[in-house]
Amino acid sequence: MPFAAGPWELASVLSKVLSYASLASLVGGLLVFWLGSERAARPSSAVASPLLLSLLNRRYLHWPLALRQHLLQLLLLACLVGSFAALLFFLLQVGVVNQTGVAGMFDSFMAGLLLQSPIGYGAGLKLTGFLVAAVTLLLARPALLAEKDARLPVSLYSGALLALVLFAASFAVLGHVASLGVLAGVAIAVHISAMGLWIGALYPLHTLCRQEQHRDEPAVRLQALLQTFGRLGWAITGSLLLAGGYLLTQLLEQPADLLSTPYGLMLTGKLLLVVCLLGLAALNKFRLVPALAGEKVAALQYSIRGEMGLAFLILVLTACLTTFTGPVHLL
Amino acid sequence: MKKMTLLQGLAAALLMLVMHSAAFAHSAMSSSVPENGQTVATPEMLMLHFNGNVRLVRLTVTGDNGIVETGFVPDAAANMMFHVAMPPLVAGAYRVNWTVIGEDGHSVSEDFRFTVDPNAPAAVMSEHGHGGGDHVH
Repeated sequence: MPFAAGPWELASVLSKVLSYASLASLVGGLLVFWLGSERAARPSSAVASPLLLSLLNRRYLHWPLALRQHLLQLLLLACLVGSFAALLFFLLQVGVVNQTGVAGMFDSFMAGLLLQSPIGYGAGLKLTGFLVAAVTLLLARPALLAEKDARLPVSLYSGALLALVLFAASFAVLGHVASLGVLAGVAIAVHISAMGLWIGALYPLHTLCRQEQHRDEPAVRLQALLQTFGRLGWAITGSLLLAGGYLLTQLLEQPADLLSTPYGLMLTGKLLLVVCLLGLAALNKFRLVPALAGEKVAALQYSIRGEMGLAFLILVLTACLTTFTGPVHLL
Repeated sequence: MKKMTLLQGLAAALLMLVMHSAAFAHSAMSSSVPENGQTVATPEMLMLHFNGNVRLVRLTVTGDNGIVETGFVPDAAANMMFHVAMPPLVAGAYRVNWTVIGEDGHSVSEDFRFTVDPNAPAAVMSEHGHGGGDHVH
């Protein structure tokens, strides 16, 4: 089937890009908050806490108030845009089914019907995820923006984890992998989570670099944060590629489809962009971050901007991939 | 050299193991009564058979005199087979346009045509495939 790039499809792509970008910004932003925090020294008399609690509990933020405010606003904006995108996607699907123009998007009978389909389940899970995250962030706001001893409350991570589960579930019930079984559902959940942790962290990291440029002392704290991010990067990119690779084998019938079908060609384009992104990530990890001691923050900032550009292209291509084509073209 | 060959064999075996051999497709109609392009006596019922469980959310029948009032009521239940009661049809050409939502949440719209001729035989079920329709994901 030839590509049908009408206004409905383009609007659908827009809603997906906004949704992916919001999800990534939220997940990655929270990761950067965690990376920027430090665990309070435990009194020697304290009983050893379980590993999970020791990772999450009583983590203090030493960032300036303006920076904390800026990042919190970014996360809340991501929740707002993500909610709007989920709603827009659902209404667009109602309009597409009705085939009666823009007014068809607001047909309550059809909307009720689609709410009971994977379209409704998927959009509902995403919307709930963004709302849960927004409420959690608002509840955590006083602790995050406290003048003294600002910290990350455990409730923030509990809410974020719940939101992440809801997002992952939305991708498992709606889309090309929805009918591929449980393992593919788990793979897409891992793929989406890792994607968010990686590319969603880029803008907050860029903001931290900008902050450091205005300081005179060497960016020691930023360097330590980026080194931790780099260490986590192995696990994040590893699980992203492993889950993505598995999904690829499930969606394609044979490797040759990557070059011989529209769907495969778009996947190949996405893979090439991912390779470029990995290249820049490696440059940051092995060259630019170690050089931060020499105050080469600007070079790192420039490289992260490149990563953000590539990540945006990947999101757009993924939205196009799931809108204009599908594995059906392989048959 | 022998080691490389073994590794290559293992890689190929792994690839074959994980490659999905089952056909993977979006929702499509596998057959209908009347079938596409058929000339039949006025059908008492339309039957639509799909390649998997789908939700039939929209169905319109259009004749020379405009839209025909059918007994179709959209339902959230997913099925492979749908029956739609039809009123008596006058002789002429008809187009059936349908929209379904598949298990993966993708909507598919397609249509098929038939002609009513009082002297033609009654419609019977036979397999026929329909090409790709308008897929919105």
